[in-house]
Amino acid sequence: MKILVPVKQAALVEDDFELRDDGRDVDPDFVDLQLNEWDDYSLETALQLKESHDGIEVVAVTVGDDDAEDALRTCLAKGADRAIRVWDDELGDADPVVIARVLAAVAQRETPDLVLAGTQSSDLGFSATGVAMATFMGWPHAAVVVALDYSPGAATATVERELEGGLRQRLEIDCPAVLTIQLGINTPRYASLRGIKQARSLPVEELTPEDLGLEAQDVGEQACGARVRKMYLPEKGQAEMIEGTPAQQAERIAAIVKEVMGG
Amino acid sequence: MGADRALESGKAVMGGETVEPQTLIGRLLARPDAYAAAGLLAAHPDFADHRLLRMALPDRATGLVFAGMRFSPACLLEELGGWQDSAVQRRLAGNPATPAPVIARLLDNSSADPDVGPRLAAHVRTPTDALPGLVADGRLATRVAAAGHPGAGHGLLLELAGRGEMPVLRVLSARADLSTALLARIWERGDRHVQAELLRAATCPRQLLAAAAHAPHALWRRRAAGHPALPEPVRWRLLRDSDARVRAAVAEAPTTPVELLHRFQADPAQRVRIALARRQDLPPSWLDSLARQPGAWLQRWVARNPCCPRQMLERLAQSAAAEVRRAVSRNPATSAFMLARLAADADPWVRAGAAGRADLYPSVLARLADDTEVDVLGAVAANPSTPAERLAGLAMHDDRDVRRAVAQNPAASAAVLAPLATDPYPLNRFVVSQRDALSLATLEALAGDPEPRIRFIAWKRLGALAASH
Amino acid sequence: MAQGILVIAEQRRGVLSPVTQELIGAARAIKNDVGGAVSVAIIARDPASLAEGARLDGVDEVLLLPVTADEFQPDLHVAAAMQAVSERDPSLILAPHSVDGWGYAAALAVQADAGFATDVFAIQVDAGEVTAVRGAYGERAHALLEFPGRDRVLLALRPSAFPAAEGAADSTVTELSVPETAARSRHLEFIDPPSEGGVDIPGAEFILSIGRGVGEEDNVEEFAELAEQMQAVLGCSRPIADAGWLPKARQVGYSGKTASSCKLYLALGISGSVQHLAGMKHVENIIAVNSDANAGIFNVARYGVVGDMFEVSKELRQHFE
Ligand SMILES: Cc1cc2nc3c(=O)[nH]c(=O)nc-3n(C[C@H](O)[C@H](O)[C@H](O)COP(=O)(O)OP(=O)(O)OC[C@H]3O[C@@H](n4cnc5c(N)ncnc54)[C@H](O)[C@@H]3O)c2cc1C
Repeated sequence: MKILVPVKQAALVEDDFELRDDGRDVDPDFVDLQLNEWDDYSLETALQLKESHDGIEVVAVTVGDDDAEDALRTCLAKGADRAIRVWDDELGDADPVVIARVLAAVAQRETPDLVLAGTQSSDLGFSATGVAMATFMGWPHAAVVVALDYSPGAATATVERELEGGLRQRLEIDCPAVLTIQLGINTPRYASLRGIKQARSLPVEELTPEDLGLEAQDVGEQACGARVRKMYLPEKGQAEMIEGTPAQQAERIAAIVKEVMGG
Repeated sequence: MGADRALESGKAVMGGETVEPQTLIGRLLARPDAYAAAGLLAAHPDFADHRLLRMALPDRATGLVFAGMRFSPACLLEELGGWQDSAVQRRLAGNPATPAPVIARLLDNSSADPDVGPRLAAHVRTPTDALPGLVADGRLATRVAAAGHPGAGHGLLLELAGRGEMPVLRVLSARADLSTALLARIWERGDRHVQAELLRAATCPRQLLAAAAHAPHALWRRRAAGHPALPEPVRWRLLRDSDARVRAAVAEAPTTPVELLHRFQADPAQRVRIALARRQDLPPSWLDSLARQPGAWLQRWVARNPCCPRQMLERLAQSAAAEVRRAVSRNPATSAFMLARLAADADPWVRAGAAGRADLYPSVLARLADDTEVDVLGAVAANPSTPAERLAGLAMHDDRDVRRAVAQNPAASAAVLAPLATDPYPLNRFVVSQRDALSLATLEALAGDPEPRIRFIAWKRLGALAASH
Repeated sequence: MAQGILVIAEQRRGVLSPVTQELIGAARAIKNDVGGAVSVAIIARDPASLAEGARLDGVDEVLLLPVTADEFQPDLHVAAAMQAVSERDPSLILAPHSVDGWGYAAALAVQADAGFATDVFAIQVDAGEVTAVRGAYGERAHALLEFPGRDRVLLALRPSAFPAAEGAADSTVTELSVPETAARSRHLEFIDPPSEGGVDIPGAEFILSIGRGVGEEDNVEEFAELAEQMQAVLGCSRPIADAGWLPKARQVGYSGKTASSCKLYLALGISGSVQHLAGMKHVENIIAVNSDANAGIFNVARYGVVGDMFEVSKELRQHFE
C-alpha cells in the first residue's frame, strides 16, 4: 500500500521586509524557507501508519523550484521512502488550483491508496489545495482532520474534523480518500541527525508537468483561479498602539477585556 | 534560562585539547559556510580575515540576517555598514550591537528613509551631540525616541518638554535622571497622568507630594504613597486613606516602615492584607495572623514569603489548596524533611516543586526520578543534586522536554551532555551548544549541525579555543 | 452571460451560521456593481425550515436545495451548489472561509471552472470586474487578486470581515431539485469540546500569558493572581515552562498547546517568536505588552502596549478587584 503526502516549502517572511520589484510578491531576500507546518503533521500521520503496519510506502511530493527540494529532504530524513519534485518555470505563478491539478496527475501516476495533505500552508493559507486535488482525482475528501482511525486496505476510515469553537465532527469516509490534516493530530517527530545526513544522498525524482501528460494550458497562467495583481503593506501596522502612562494603558486594556469578554 | 544570552560569549571547552586557528580557517575554506565563518569572526579579532568576511556574506539575504542579529560580530556589522542598501541600513540602525563607527556613518547620510531617524535616536551608541540633529527631522517618533535616550543632553530634554507633546512628556516623566528644572517643565506642560508619574521621581518637590495626598484621583495618592521621601504627615494621612488601593500602595512601598502597618493585618480589604503578606520584613506573628484568615491567595503569599517560620510552613503544607502546598515547596525556608512529604503529594505540580529543590534528600530525589509526570521529571532532570547516572538516563528519556531539562542542568557533566548534542530535537542541541562543560568532540559534532545558529555558536567556541592558545 | 451573485449559506445542527448573514451583507454591498440578482442557496435536509433566516435585505431569491444528509457533506454540498450555479448562472459565488467552507469551496471552484480565492476580506468591483483582497504571510502583506478571463468567480470570505445583513425582506423562495448524488462520507456524531477540569489552554476563551519578561520565579505568582482576578486562564511561553515555573500544560506554542477557543489573548513580556505565535496568532483579539517597541509580537497583536509588564499589571489589578 502507498500513501502520497503532498508537501510545500513554505515561506516565512521576516518582520521588516520589502516587496519584489514587480510588486507582486515579497522580495525573496526577506524570506526563510521551511517545510509547511501542517505538512509536518500530515507526514507524521503517514509515518505512524507505516510504522504500525507492514508494507506501507510513503511518497512525498512537492510542486516547487530548486529551493523546494529541502522540504523533500526533510521528509526523507524523517522516514519517507521516496520523494518527487515537479517543476517547470511556467508554474511560477501557479495558484492552488493549478498545483492541485499537477498533484492529481502525480497521483494518477503513483496510484496511492491514501492521500494525506496539510489543511493549509503557513505562508498563504489558501486551505484549498488538498480538496481541489481530490476533486481533480474524483476521490472523496475530508478537510481539517484531527483524528484518524484507518487500517490499510479497509474500505472506510473514521475521522474527526475540527470545527469552529473546539467542536468536533466524527464521520466515516470511503477509501481511497484525500484527507487534509490539521495541527495537533499528533506530535511530529524531528529527523535524527543520521537521517538528515542520509537524506542528503537519497534521490529526488524530478518531473515536469509534461512528463505527467499535462499541457501548457493546464498549468499556465490562464489555468489559475486567480492572479496576484499586486501586494502591498497593510495601511498601518496591524496593532493599534495604546498610548499613555501605565495607568492609562491599563485602563484601556481593562475596557477592551470587558468589551470582548462581556461583563 | 538565559540561553540566548550565552550566544554573546565564546566559551572554551573542558579538557586540555587544542585546535589551531589555521586549521579551522583551512577547514572552512574547503567547505564554506556563512554561519561558521561568522562564528569565527565573532570568536576573536585574529580571525578578521577578508576571506572569512566574504564567506559570511555570500548574498543579500544573509547580509540582511546578520545586519539585524544581536550576536553579529562587529567586523561583520562594519562591513555591512558599507552596503548601499536601505533595508540593511534600517536593520543596522535598529541593532543594539551595531558599533559606533557604523552608527556615525548612518548619522552622516541620515537618509530619506523615515524609519532610520527614530531608530538612531533610540540607539545607545548614538552620541549625545547627534541627537539634536536627528530631532530636527520633524518626526514625533524621533522626538519620543530621543526623549528616552539615556545620553540625551539636559538642554535637549528641556526643549522637548517645552513642546508639550504628551507622548514625549510621558517618556520624559519616566526618566530616572530628572532635574528639578526639567521636572518643573514637564509638570507644567503635562496632563494629570503625566503629573502622576512625576510623583515617583526622586526629585519630586515635597509640596507636590503633600498636595497629592489630597488629590481627588486615587492614582495620585497611590503614586505619592511609594515615594521614598514622603513627608511623615502625608504618610500618616495615606495610611488612613478611604480607598483600599491607596492603602495597598502604602503597604507595598518598601519605604513604609513596617511598624506603621500593624493595623493592616485586619484591614477589611483583602488587597491590603495581601500587599502586607508580600512584604519580606514582617514579624512572624503577623504572618501567622494573616495565614489564619480565609482566602487561598493570602495563604499562597504567606507560604511564598521567605520569612515564614517553619512551623507555619508545616501547617500550610497541609492546606487543601494545591497551590498553597506548591508555594510551600518553593519556599527556601522549607526543610528537607517537609519536602520529603511534599514529594509524595498527590498533585504533580506540588511534587514538581519539591523535585526542583537542590536540598532534597537523595533518596527522595531518587524516588521522584521514577515519577511519570513530565513536570516532575523535568524538575528532577534540571536539579543540580541529581546524580550523574540518573541524569545520563534522563538524557535518553522519550520526552524531549525532560531531555532538555538535563541539557539545562548546571551540574550536567560533559559526558552527560555529549549524547544530547545529537538529539533529534534542534532546541535541545541549541541548549547544549551553550553549555560550558563540553568536550572538544561534542563541539566538533555541533560544528556540523544542520541548524545555522548552532553552527555559529559551535564555531565561535572553537575559534575562541584556538585563539586562546 | 453569467450575471448575479449566488451566496452559499452555511448551516450546522439545523441553524444558519452567523457567517451566512455576513455573506449576504457582502453581496448586498456590491450587488449594483455586479449586476443581476442575489440568490441565497440553502443546502440542508429541510432547507425550507431555514429559509426565513436568509430572507434579508438585498436578497432577491432564496433557493432551497434539499439533500439527503442532516449535516455538511462535501459531495452533496457541491452537487447542490452546482445545481444552483447551472440554473442561475451567477458571475459571482460567495462561500464562507469556514471549516466547512474549506471542505468544499475548492471542489466547487474546480467543478464550476470558476476563478477562485479564499480568505477574502475585501471585494472591489470596477466596471464589472471583480477583484479581491486577502492576507498573505501571516497578514504581513495584503494581496490584490484579479481573475483574468473568468466570467465566474468564487470567493470564500473571511468570517467577521463583512458586516452582517439585517432587516427582513420578502425575497421569493424557490425549491430546486438536486440530482441524486452518492455521499461518500457519513456524519456520525458531533463531539462537544471537553469542559473545564485541569489546566485547559485549548478550551480557554481568555488567556493571560507571561513570557521571559517576568524575570524570576517569585514574580510569577503576581501574574497568576492577576489572571485569576481577570478570570483568565494563565498561559506562558516556553522558557517559563522550561524553568519549571509553570506546568508544561500551560505552555502555548508550537511545542505546547494551541489557544484554540481563545477570544482574547493578553501577552505580557513575550517577544513573539514564531514558535510561540504558532499557538496563538490566530486569536482575534491579541493585546501585547512589551517594553521593546520592536518586539515581533506587535506584528500579530490587535492592540499593543509598549511598557513594563509589572507596571501594567499593577495598574490592571486596580480594575479587577
Ligand atoms: C523547536 C522549537 C520549539 C519551540 N516551541 C515553543 C513553544 O511551543 N512555545 C514558546 O513559547 N516557545 C517555543 N520555542 C521557543 C521560542 O523560540 C522562544 O525562545 C520563546 O518563545 C521565547 O519566549 P519569550 O518570548 O517568553 O522570551 P524572550 O524571547 O526572551 O522575550 C522576552 C520578552 O519580554 C520583554 N520584556 C522583558 N522585560 C519586560 C518587562 N518588564 N515588561 C514588558 N516586557 C518585557 C522583552 O522585550 C522580550 O521581548 C520553541 C523553540 C524551538 C526551537
